[in-house]
Amino acid sequence: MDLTREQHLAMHRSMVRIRLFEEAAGSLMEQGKMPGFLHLYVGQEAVAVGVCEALRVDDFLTSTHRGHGHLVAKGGDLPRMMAELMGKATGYCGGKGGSMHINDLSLGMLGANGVVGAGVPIAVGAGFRNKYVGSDQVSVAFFGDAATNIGAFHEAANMACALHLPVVFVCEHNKYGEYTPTDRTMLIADVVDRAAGYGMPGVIVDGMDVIAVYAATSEAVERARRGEGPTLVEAKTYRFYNHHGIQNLGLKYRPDEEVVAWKERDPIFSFEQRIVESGVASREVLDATWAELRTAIDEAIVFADESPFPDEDQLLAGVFTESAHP
Amino acid sequence: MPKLGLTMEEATIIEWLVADGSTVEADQPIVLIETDKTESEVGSPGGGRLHQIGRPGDVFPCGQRIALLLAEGERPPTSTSTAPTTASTPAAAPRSPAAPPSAAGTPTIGGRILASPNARRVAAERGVRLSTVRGSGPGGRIVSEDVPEVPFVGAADRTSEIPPLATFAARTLADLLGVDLTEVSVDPIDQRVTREGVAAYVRSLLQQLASPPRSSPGALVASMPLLQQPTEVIKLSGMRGTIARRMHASLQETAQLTLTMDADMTAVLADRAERSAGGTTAPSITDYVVAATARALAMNPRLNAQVTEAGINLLPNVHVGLAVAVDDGLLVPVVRDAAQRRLADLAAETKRLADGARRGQLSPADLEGGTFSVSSLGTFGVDMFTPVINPPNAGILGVGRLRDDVVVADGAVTSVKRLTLSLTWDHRVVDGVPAADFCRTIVDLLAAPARLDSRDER
Amino acid sequence: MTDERSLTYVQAFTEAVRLEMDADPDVFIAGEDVGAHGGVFHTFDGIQKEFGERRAVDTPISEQAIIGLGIGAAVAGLRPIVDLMFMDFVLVAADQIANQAAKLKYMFGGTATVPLTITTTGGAGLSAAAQHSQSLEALFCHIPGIKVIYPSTPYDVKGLMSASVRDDNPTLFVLHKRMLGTRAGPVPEERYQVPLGVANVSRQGKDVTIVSWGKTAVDSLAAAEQLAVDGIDAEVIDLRTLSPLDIDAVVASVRTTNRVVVAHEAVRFGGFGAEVAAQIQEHAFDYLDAPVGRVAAPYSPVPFTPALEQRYVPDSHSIAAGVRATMARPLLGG
Repeated sequence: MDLTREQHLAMHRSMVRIRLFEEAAGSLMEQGKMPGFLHLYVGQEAVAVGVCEALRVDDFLTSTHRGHGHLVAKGGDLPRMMAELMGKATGYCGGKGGSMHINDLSLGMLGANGVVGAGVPIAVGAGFRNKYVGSDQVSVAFFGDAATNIGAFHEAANMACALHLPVVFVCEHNKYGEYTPTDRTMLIADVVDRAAGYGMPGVIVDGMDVIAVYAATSEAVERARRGEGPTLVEAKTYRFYNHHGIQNLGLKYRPDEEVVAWKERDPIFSFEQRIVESGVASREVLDATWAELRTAIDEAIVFADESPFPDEDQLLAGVFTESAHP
Repeated sequence: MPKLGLTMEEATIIEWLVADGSTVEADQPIVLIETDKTESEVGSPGGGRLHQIGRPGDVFPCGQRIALLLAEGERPPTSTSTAPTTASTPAAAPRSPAAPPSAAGTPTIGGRILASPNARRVAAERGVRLSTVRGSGPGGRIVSEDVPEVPFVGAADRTSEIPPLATFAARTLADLLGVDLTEVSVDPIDQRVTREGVAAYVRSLLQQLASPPRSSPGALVASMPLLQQPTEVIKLSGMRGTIARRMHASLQETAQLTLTMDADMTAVLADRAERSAGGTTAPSITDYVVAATARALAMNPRLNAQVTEAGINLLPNVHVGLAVAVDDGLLVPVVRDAAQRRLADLAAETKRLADGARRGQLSPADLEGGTFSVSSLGTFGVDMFTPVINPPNAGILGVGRLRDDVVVADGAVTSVKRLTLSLTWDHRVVDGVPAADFCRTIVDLLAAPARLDSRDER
Repeated sequence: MTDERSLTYVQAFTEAVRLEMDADPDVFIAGEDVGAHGGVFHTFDGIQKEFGERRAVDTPISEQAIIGLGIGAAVAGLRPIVDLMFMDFVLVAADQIANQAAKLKYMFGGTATVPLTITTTGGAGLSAAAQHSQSLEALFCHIPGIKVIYPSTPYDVKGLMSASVRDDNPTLFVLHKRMLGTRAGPVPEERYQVPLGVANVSRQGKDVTIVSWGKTAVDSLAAAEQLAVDGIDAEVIDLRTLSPLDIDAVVASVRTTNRVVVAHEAVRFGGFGAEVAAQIQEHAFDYLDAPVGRVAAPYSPVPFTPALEQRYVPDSHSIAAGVRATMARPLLGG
């Protein structure tokens, strides 16, 4: 796939942004500076970035409980993200949603979701809207391998196919559903085996290779834009950290060798190697990106720290939309 | 019926001075009444047509209506129940068991009138007392429709007519024994008189007959009208209330009296001086008395006793209470096993208890279990007094002022240091001679303080 | 001059849908059998014919996905009407309704708008048995972020349905499946709205208030006629919207009648009548001459056989009996 230098650097930048944000957020949470818990995307950056690189700003997506990466990749604002994770009034949800409901409707990012698989029907709904108004916008549903076992996924996948909707189903297959290996909870190793069951094509892609993800997604997106219906893209990937947080909580549910092996295929570092070896950009340029984004993260943390919590009068606000549209 | 005197509570109508229906003016004498002291004429409170309610011979408590003054054209109300109380009308006799409460008038549950919230609101607005209303709702509940537009004038307070709520079995037993159900306590859970309640009441009556007659226990406070408007009212609650109740009960329930005896304290003072010179803190005078009392009790077990229905219970362990004055009250912490303590140890313990009492830091264990008490007013200049026994003990020893005195021995006059011991004892437990012997024992021990520092001599 | 025409309950519904789809191209319907078939209860008769397949969509049997489709489309800017054939099936889609639709706006800090209307039919009396006869409105009254509408007349059906579609919040709109063919009064031809959150005093009276909704509101009117024969003048309040609740209307009535009975077809225990009763005693305690009465279904699933189902569902007689119990004044022989 021919990508420009700008595209390479943009994707690199996006992945580093995710990596640094997640590391910072995870560390702050474990220091007790953030309420609740976080599900970190570290290790899976190539999937969010590769997919979003194939999307336009006006395309929609829904996300999972592990949603920071998707929002960053779609163009999310780091200070507002950090503020939301800290529960501040300046956060994306005014402090009312937190990590699992983070969203940016102006970017078409229709929210992370706290219920496994629940975002998939909503993405299908957005896809319905696109077809309904006659636009070539598409809708992407992110979900994990274990989520394909929940009823909502099945219904949504079937619905999108039956109604011929412009939806791309992106499965981030990281081999685990929370603490249980997925090979213990379903008999198929490849989620794409289910695609045919709904009548849509499925493609497996190396989720640690951002260019491969981008290529596969671009194809699926173009199919959808042309009105040819949904595709299931299964990205084989791995989360480097725990289901939530960083520390393993002393739980050994993943073999060390497995973790080590996947870490050796770090999506960012391997991409950097490609960039440098192919002469697309120098090491210095890449390092400068890291430095610049570290500063941006720090600024985001400062912004969030200094932001106020929402006032008490916000407790009951936003339950209903007051207006009607007569 | 006007209240014409401080102690007047009721009066009898002798005769009306004007005819029923005549027009009267304010202050015009309209009726002659008699209290237990005098006859008085009563003037009309205002002008109007007199509508007499009471009849000659009727007794009315002060405040109850005996007549109405009607305006021109106003008719007297049709309800004519007047309910003058004759002296000591017995409360309603137990009814036949078949009468359900709802048919009897104002229904109550545990004394609370059954009425809907709306009925209460409407009754309050109209100035109607719910006790005058009969309820037509389920269970006899008063509903707002039952509340009259204006209060029934002179309407009887129906609560006096209501037979007490009681079970059928209770009524049967009460009928059989001639028990007045209103005298019997209501079962707190069942909210009505039960058969068990009637039986318990009768049993207590029988006990009273069997035990020595005593004046009726009486209330803690006799009910008399205030002489003047008080500048302050101190409640009989908390420590004050406890002291009031216990001292009052002690005097009511025992046969206590007091004897006095002087004790020569010369030897005690010498012993004190010796201990001080030795560098230790010497025990106080009261400590010596407590030690002597404790050992005397060990030698005279009859005084270390408690009276119950079973009889005079001799208690094996001697725990001596020591009265300590605290802010607006007094506490009696207890020196446990006082007879077994060496003097220094006993002194340390009384100090701990006294300090703790003054600081309010005593535990309940420190304040209970005393079998005898010692109370000293000597530092306040008192020589002898009649201390009141701390229930349920059999005695209490008062300690008077250490004073200089003179004795004549063999024609020679010498000065001694003395104080007066005031022993109050319960005559139900021992008679005067043993009491005096007991006191003599204390006096002898005080004369030989070395004996106070050894283990008890029982 | 307005035609004094009457429509049935279900026809009034269809007319509202049609008028709303006509007025706003963003309005569409989706659900099982709603397109080609016009809905199993004829709720959407003629809609697909008039507006085409794009705007009247037959979905697979997938309640979660149906609601999800509605949510996604609503958040992305459309104004969907999605249909759950039987009210019992809201339980299948409960996550999407309660965890997603109702909460999206709040969780997103107020930025999202979800102008989604969920239509369904509820109620018993057709021997449809336990899983097709429930009245589950209480469940969703309990979830902040969703409005619950339950009309009892054709006029209200049409006006409230229009209002629900135009309202920018998730609304659950319930039709009683036994009322579909009933006529009751004229229904104007034009497009109009009955405001959400406003109760209707369908009969004025001074002795007792009956609060109800849906079919039970109609039965309450019949009960009032029976009671009138015995000299009991009942005021009937048809709530129309359950959440938000027009408690002011109820309290104003209770303050004058001093007695109130709440009647509904749902199970008594934990039914929405409990909320109404609790609020009545909160606001009008001192005006009550009797405890707030409830006439409702007993604590069991809906039985199949008519012999039992008839005993299960409140009707005008059981409502009247409930009122009499509240009015009872035994000393007067009443």
